[in-house]
Amino acid sequence: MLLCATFPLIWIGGLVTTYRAGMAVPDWPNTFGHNLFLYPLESWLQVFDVLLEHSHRLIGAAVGLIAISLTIALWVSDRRPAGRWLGVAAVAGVCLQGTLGGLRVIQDEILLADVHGCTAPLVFSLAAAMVAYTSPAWRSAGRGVTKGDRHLAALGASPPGEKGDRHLAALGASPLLSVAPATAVLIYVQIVLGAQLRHLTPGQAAGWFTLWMWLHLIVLGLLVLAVVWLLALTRRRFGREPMLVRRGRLLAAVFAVQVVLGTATWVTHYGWPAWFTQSIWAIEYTVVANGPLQALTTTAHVVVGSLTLVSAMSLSLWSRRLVSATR
Amino acid sequence: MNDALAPNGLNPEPRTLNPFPALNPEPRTLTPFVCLLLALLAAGCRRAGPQFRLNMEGRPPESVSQQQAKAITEALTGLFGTPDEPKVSTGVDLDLELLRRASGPIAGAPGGQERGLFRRQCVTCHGVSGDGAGPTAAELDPYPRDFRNGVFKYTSTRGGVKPIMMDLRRTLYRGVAGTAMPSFAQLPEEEIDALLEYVKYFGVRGQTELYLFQMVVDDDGALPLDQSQVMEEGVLPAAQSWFEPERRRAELVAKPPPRPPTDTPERLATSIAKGRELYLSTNSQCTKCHGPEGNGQGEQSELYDDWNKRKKGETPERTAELARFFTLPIERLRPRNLHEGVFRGGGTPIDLYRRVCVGIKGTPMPAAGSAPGVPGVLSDEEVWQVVEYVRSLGGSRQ
Repeated sequence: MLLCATFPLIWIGGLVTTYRAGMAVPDWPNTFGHNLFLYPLESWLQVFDVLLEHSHRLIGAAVGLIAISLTIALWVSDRRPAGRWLGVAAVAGVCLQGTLGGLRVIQDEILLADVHGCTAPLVFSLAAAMVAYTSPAWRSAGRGVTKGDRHLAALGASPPGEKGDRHLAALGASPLLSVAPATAVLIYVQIVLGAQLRHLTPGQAAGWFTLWMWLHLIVLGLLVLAVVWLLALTRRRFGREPMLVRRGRLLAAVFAVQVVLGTATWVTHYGWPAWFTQSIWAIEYTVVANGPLQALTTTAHVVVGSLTLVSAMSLSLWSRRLVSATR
Repeated sequence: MNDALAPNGLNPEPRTLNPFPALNPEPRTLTPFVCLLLALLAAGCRRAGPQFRLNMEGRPPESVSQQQAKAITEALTGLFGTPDEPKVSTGVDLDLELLRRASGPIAGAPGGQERGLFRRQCVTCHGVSGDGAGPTAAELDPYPRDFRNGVFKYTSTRGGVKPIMMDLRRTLYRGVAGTAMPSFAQLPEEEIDALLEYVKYFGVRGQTELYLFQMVVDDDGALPLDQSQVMEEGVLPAAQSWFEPERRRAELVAKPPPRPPTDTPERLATSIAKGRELYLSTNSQCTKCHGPEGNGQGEQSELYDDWNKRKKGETPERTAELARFFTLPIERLRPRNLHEGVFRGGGTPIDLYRRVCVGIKGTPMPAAGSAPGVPGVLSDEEVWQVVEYVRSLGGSRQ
């Protein structure tokens, strides 16, 4: 539930930045002097920027309440210390995000908006980690029984714990255990670089945007290699472990969508590059400021970035979980 | 004592694109987590708003002393205010209310955005100073417009006069196809009005700044400045130049005459054939840049607009030396490939008429049309014939 509530929060937060509506409501935690929860609906719906910013705050508050409820539930019902502290971390993460967002408004500081945007995917990933951690499959994996094992057993191929252990043991020696988390880290770096491209300060020298842009492209190249490699590895060497195969495929699919969205984001903001229109194909395209295509592709690029991070993180977590289950 | 412009204080922004802190005063080198810590610690501290940069384009930093830079900056601030708080001097016909809406930090109100329209919509390309050197500018081809000298490419005005506001409004509404300049048709009318007024403000301020540099630096004028002289010779002429084309519309604004009928295939073919003749003639000089085939491969292959011409030296070494004195690197101009059917100033027949008739200011594209009492290279009818020929090349869809 926390994950499902955080997802629209990232969408609306992305739209706030896309439409530069971060200062649409200049006070915090109130909204134009009203209590956050008591701001009149008709006023809230009247202005698009206010709708975005105020909705973002309300959903943020809801996410906070859900995080608190979840943490209480974990402390009551889950005896695993890691699970309890994950809940505490989630509450801390949401509180931090709320504070950063509030300070951004009070200080009218784009740097804080930048940080707020960079920490949001981490909180989203934390929520996703909690989903994995609290799932029955995670517990089953802890007892050394995986879906792969059950599948093999159903086929009568070999009893669980034999072939299953061997291929999972192979996992222990696999570079998957290092490349998957490294890919997740690299994806986060890419998200941070993307945030620098979005949160430009008015007086910023031109060289910074050029630097972030080139770094974003270089890391893209590294990620293409990493994701293709992970896809091949999960399919070829761990094809009998559906937990890993599915996550490898998901990562590749989400990443491919992200690359397309990234290209679309550039084009809808800055038009087709001159080298493309002069040498390859002269396209008559006019950028439309604040148009739906521009807003949706840009914001989708932000959101799918977080999904890509979660996909890589999920692959990392599960590969480690399955290894620890064989020991 | 060397009182040339020092690296700090009243200096202009660094000329190179080198982003590294040693050569660039911008402090954006921190990782997000360090930023987080500093941001939390800095809660309660406010930075000063952005300031206008002195227009040092083409000037070696050492050519302007600190005293001169200070005098110019103070004069401009006194006359025009700051990016956060604009001012309008007496006798300058600018709407301060519109300027306030366009300027300053982005600020919301229950009824909608109160201030900061320029920073919201324009600043990442055009820069705080309207100098066309915003944060994204270096990656764009063509560069965003420098508003400060009041020269705009796609206008309907003849000679070197300012555009009429309808020209700028048209650009804002339609954007510039094939470039990063967006269409702002989604914005409410009052926001477009505010942005247009702010562009005019940049023009008046920019021209005054050029006058001050001429007086203080080039002519080594005495300091302190005579404020009334600055008003009389700098500010007021700059402001009035924006109203000149509106006042003298009949002679300064090209109004396309009715398009000759091309309602039958024969008439269209005749018009296109005549247009081709005119296009190829040495009189019109179209082929020099656009080439005999209209593919942009004319004999003049190395072209620059006025904003980039100054960056070109006689030798590559000199060009590299000159790069120090400009914010953005030199960028070549490419004559339009007429077969592409992509026209930045608009592809409708009237748009093309205007381009041929009054040219594209700031570029080698000349004005070929006639004005009242002043015959041009082409008559009105001939301009239309050239337009028909050009449209036939690109299969224009408009």
